[in-house]
Amino acid sequence: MRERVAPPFAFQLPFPVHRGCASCCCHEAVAKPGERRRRAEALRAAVLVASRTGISLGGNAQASHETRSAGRLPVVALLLWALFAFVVPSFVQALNLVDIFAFPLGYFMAAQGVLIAFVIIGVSSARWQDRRDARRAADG
Amino acid sequence: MTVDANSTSPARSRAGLALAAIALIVVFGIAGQSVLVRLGASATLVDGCYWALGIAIAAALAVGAGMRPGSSVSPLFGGLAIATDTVSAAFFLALAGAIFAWGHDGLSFAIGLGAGCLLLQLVVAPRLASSGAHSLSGFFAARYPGRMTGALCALTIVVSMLLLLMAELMAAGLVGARLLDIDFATAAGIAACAVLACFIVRGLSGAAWVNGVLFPIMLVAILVPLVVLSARWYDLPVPELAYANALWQVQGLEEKLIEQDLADPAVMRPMLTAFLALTPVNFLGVVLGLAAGVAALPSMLPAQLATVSARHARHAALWGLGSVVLLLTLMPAVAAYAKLSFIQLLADRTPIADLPGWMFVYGKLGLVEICGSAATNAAAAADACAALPETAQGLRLQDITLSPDMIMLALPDMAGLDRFVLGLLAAAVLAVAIATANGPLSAIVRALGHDSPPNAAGGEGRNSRLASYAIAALAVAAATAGAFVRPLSILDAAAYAFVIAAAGLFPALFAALWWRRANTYGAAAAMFAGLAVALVYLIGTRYFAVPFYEWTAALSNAGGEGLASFTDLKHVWIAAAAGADKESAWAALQAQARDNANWWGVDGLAVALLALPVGFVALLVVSLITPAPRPAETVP
Repeated sequence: MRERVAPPFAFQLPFPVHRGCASCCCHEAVAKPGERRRRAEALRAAVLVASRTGISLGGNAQASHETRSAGRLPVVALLLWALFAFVVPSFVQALNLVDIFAFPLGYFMAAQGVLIAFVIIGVSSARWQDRRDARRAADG
Repeated sequence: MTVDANSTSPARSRAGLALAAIALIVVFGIAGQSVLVRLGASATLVDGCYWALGIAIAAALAVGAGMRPGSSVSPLFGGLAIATDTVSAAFFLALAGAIFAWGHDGLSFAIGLGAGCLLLQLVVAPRLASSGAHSLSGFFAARYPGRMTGALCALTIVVSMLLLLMAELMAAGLVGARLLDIDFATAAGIAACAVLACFIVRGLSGAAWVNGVLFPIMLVAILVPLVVLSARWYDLPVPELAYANALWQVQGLEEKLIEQDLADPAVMRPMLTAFLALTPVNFLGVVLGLAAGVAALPSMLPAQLATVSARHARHAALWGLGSVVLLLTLMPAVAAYAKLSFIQLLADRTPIADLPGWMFVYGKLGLVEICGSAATNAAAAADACAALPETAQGLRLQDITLSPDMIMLALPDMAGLDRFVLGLLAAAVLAVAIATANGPLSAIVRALGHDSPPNAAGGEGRNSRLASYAIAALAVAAATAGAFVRPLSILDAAAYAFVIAAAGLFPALFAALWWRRANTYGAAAAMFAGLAVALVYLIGTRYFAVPFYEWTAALSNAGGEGLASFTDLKHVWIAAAAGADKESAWAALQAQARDNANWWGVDGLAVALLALPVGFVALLVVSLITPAPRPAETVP
C-alpha cells in the first residue's frame, strides 16, 4: 500500500461534519476519545478497501492514472441501457410486425424483453468489472 | 463499518434467526387460517386474521431490524432489500392497474423501474459504496458543504418522501378497508399508527436489509393466483407465456364490444396497441423519470449500499435488478387476466342486478364507478344508469370505471379464486406497505437534521431520540392527512415521488459521484432549478391551469386552435353574470386550460424530460463560473 493514499469516498470523517445546524448535531460535535479512535479506525479501513478496489480520486500521477482506468463510467453498458430503455420502446409498432412466443414482438419487448436485456447488461457489466478488478489485484 | 470482519458470523446466525422467525409466522399464520376455515369461522373473522397476519409480519421485521442483526449481509440479501424498497407496496399494488387502465402504455412504469435498477448498478452503487454515509442528506452535506445545499436537499427529500409515504399508507389503508370492512380513513389511520410504532421499534440505526425477507413473500403472493389461473385456463402453469392467450382473447372481445356498440373506441385502451394513453415522448419521459428516481431514491440508497465495498454494492444492485425484473414481468399477466375477466362480463351483457359482488365491495371504497356515481350496491347503480340520457340495452365499457389501484387486489375476486389467495395477497401488500414505509420516514427524519451514525458507541442520546420521534410523528401525520383526502391515486403519488426525487437529486448526485469539479454552488443551482421546474410544472398544470397556460401559451402544443377556443371561453367567462353562470363558465375555461397547459406536449408524469436537462445545465454552468471546490471537499 502506498503511503499517503488520498482517502476515497470515506465520508465518515475523523472529525464531525457540521451542516450549519449546530443545535441538531451538537451531540456529534463532542466526540468522546474512544469514539474518535473508532472513527479513525473506520477511515483507515475505508482507505484499505479503496486501495484494493482501485477507486481513488487524487493523489500522485500514478494514482490518477489508476483512477482513470478504475473509476471510468461503463460507457458501453450505459449506451446499451439507453438503447433498451428509450429506443426499443419507441419502435414498438415496427417490431409488432413480428411475433414471438405468440406475443407481438413490440409488446413482448416492452413487457419482458427490455427487462431481460437489462439483466443481461447488468450481469455482463458486473462480470467484466470483477475480472478487471481481479486483474489489477494480480498485477499488484 | 466498512469491513466488519469479526462481526459477520454472529450477524449471520442472528440474521438466520430473524428469517426463521418470519418463516414460522407465515407458515403458522396460513396453517391457522386453514384450520379456522375448516372449523367454519365466518368470512369476516378469517379476513381479519389475514390482516393481523400482515401486521404481524411487519412487526416481526421491525423487531428483527431493531436487534441490529449485522449491517452487512450477502449481496443476495442486499439485493432483495433493494428490490423490496424499489417496488414498495405502492407499485406492487398499482403497477398492474396502470397496465390495466392504460393498456400498452402502462408498461412504461415497469420499464422505468427496471431501467432505474440497472442505472443504480452501473452509475451509483459502486461509487456510493464505502462512502459510510447514513443518508443521502449526509452524503450531500459531506460532498457539498453549505446551508443552501443542505436546505434544498432536505426540501426535495421531504416533498418526495412524504408523497411516497402517503402512497404506502393509502396502500395499507386500501388493504385494511377491504379486509376489515371498515372505511378507508380508519384503516389508513390504523396503518399510520403501525408505521410509527415500527419506526420506534426499529430506531434510525436498525438493519435495513431485513426488508429483503418480504420479497419472496411478495413473489409467492403474486405467483399463486397467476399460476393457478394459467394452469386452469390455458393448461400452461407459466404465467409469463400463458398470458399471451389472454391478450388475444381480450383483443377479440374488445372488437366484439365495438361491433355490438357496447364500447366507445375513444375510451378503449387495447392491451396490444401502443401510444393511445401516452404519446411516445411522454412514454420515454415516464421511463426516464422513474429510472432516475430509482437511482436517486433517498429512502433506499444509503441504507442499502453505503456501508459495503464497491464490489459488494455492485453485486447487491445486480441481485436487486434481477429480483425486480422477476416481479415486473408478472405485472402484465395480472393486468391481462383482470382485463379478460372484466371484458367478459361486458361481452356477456351481464345485467346490473347480476353484477358480481366484488364490484360493489370496491364501489363502497370509491374505486368503482358505474354510470358516473360510486357503485355501492346494485340498486344505486341501476338508478344511476337509468338517469343517463342515452340508455343502452346493456352496460357499456365507458359506463364502468375501475380505479387502477384496485386491480391487483381484486384479481382473485374477479377471476373467482379461493379466498385464501386474496388473503395471502392482501397480507403481503400490508406487510410490505408498513415495512417499506420505514424507508421514506427515516429519510425524512435524517434530512431534517437528525443524522446520527448507527451503532455509535454510546447509542443515541435520549433527547435526540425523542426529537426524531417527534419529527417522524409529524411526517406520518402529514402523510395520513394526505391519505385521507386522497388527492391522487396510489400510482400517481408513488410516481410523482420518484419523479420529484429524480428532478431534485439526480443531477447533483451524479456529479457528486463522477465529476470532481462540481462544487456546492453548482449543486445548489441544479437542485433548485430541477425542483423548481418539476414543482411549478406539476402544480401549475394541475391546480393553476388557467394562469399557467396564459403565461406560457407560446410553449404549449395546443397551437392556434387551442388558443382560440381558450380565448373564446375566457370572453364567455368575463361576460357571464356572477353566480352559477360564472362558475360553469369558469369550469369550462379550466377544463380547456388543463388540456392546453403543457410545454411541448409533455405530461406531468414525464416532467423529468424538462427538469433533468435544466438541472444538468445549471450544474455545469454554475460549477464552471464559480471557484473549484477545495480538495478537502472532493476527497474527504
